[in-house]
Amino acid sequence: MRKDGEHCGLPGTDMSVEPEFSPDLPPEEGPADAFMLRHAEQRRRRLRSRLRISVPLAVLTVPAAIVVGVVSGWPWAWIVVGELGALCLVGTINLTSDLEQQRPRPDTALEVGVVVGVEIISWGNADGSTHTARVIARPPGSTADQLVHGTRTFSAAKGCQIRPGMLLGFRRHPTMRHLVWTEPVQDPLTLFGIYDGRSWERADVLDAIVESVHIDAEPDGDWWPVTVTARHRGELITDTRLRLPEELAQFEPGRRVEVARQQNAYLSGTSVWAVLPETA
Amino acid sequence: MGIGDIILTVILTLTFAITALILWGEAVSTWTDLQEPPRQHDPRWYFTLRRWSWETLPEPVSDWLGAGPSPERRKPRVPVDVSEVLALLDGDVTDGDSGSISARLRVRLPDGEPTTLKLCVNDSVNARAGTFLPVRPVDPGMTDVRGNTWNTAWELATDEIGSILLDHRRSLGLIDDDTHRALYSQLPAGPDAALVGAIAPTGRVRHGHVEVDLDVTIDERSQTIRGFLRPEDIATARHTGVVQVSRDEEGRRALWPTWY
Repeated sequence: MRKDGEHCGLPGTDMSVEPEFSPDLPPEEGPADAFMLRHAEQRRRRLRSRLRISVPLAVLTVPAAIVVGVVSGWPWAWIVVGELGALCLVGTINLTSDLEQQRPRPDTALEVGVVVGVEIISWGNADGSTHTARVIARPPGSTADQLVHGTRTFSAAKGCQIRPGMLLGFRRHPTMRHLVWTEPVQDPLTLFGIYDGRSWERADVLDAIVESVHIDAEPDGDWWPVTVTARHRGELITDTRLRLPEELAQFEPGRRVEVARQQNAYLSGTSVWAVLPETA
Repeated sequence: MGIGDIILTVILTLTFAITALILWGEAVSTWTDLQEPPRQHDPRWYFTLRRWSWETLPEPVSDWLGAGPSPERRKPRVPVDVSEVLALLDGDVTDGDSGSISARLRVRLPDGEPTTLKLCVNDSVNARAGTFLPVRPVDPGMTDVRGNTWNTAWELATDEIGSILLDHRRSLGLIDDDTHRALYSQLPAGPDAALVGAIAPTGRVRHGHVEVDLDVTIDERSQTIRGFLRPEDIATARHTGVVQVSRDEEGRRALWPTWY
């Protein structure tokens, strides 16, 4: 059952809590890498040095309160209030800011994934700036256990525009199982070229309206051969490729999409078309 | 000590005691957590959150969008209609009392006009683009405390919200008459969890939803259930391995909607 409050967090903070999965789906976390261990050790040391000051101080407040009570002769109720106030003051020493450290950009190849989930992890206290979303994606042809995730920032004034079905360009952190570094500039034709396995850099990008979606044959794992038919100025364009069912909402009939057209490399005078997914 | 002093002492004692407990409790729990080695984040955690939201009865709006106006106010008589959330914006002031966040919801009203509602948001799983939000106009010429001319249907209970959202889903063609009847009759009972195998798209796409055939196993029987789901709920089914289904008197199964 839903545990109220457990997934609500303070504004601007990461709202992830310890994952609990049903027994048939064990967590797929992978071990912590050196970066995570170093970061955790830094936090541990910082808190330890604070506690080394705050705990003795807190202990000292008790005899201090007793001495003050005996010497001054004030009512003991006030002494208790003062003691508790002192404990609060000393307790503030333990407050350390936990800024998530930014991993450096890895030197791995640019890859793409299809967005299947967008988890908004901050939506409060933006002060007109940006919020953060965790974008969950699947690389083309992947199996269900090969999810990747990375963070993207978005304008608090516009809201998060990232939707399932969009392409996400990313680079893998070699030591992390799911976490990836998201590419700051997401160029549609470059990403589509990686997704398609051939270059689309020189294609023309045109507007079209989706007419229909057909499923033609048997799937390859979770990936189904889908034909999207779109109309560009009276010309019908079809694009058949393997897609996840999660991608299809962007091809609702009547919706405007972008299509790419480029010269056919094998048959001069003809063009090849593709329905272009948006990028995250 | 006078009565005023006693009251002041009690208030200060309680305030300081609670604050000290929170501060020191936080320090202890952080310290304990840091003794364990850190773990990588599993992205499926997000789909587990969505699964929790799916396996409940339809929540009242006030559960995820703040409390609405104070309860003693008379209940509005204007009929409720369903708008669609376009974006969750800003959120620049924290409502310190409830822990929820003041934000602006950009919504498309039933007549197609966009408007912005200032609301407290508790839960971003529901408050996002595409969400169906039951609303009604504030009395003509009036605004509510926050200056909104439309308000959420904050006072409606689970079964009323469920029935409004079922009607809305039927009007959009996301469920047919038979499914509507079956789900309506099963509203008080809630769904059963079914294990899901293959997820096959049919090619139909409507209002941000994709029609899929789900191979499910429930009570050790396998069957195929067809229904419209949002892309993220297809991913939820896939990555949690579970979908929610209802069962009517004759034992027929229907896909439990994700309500909002």
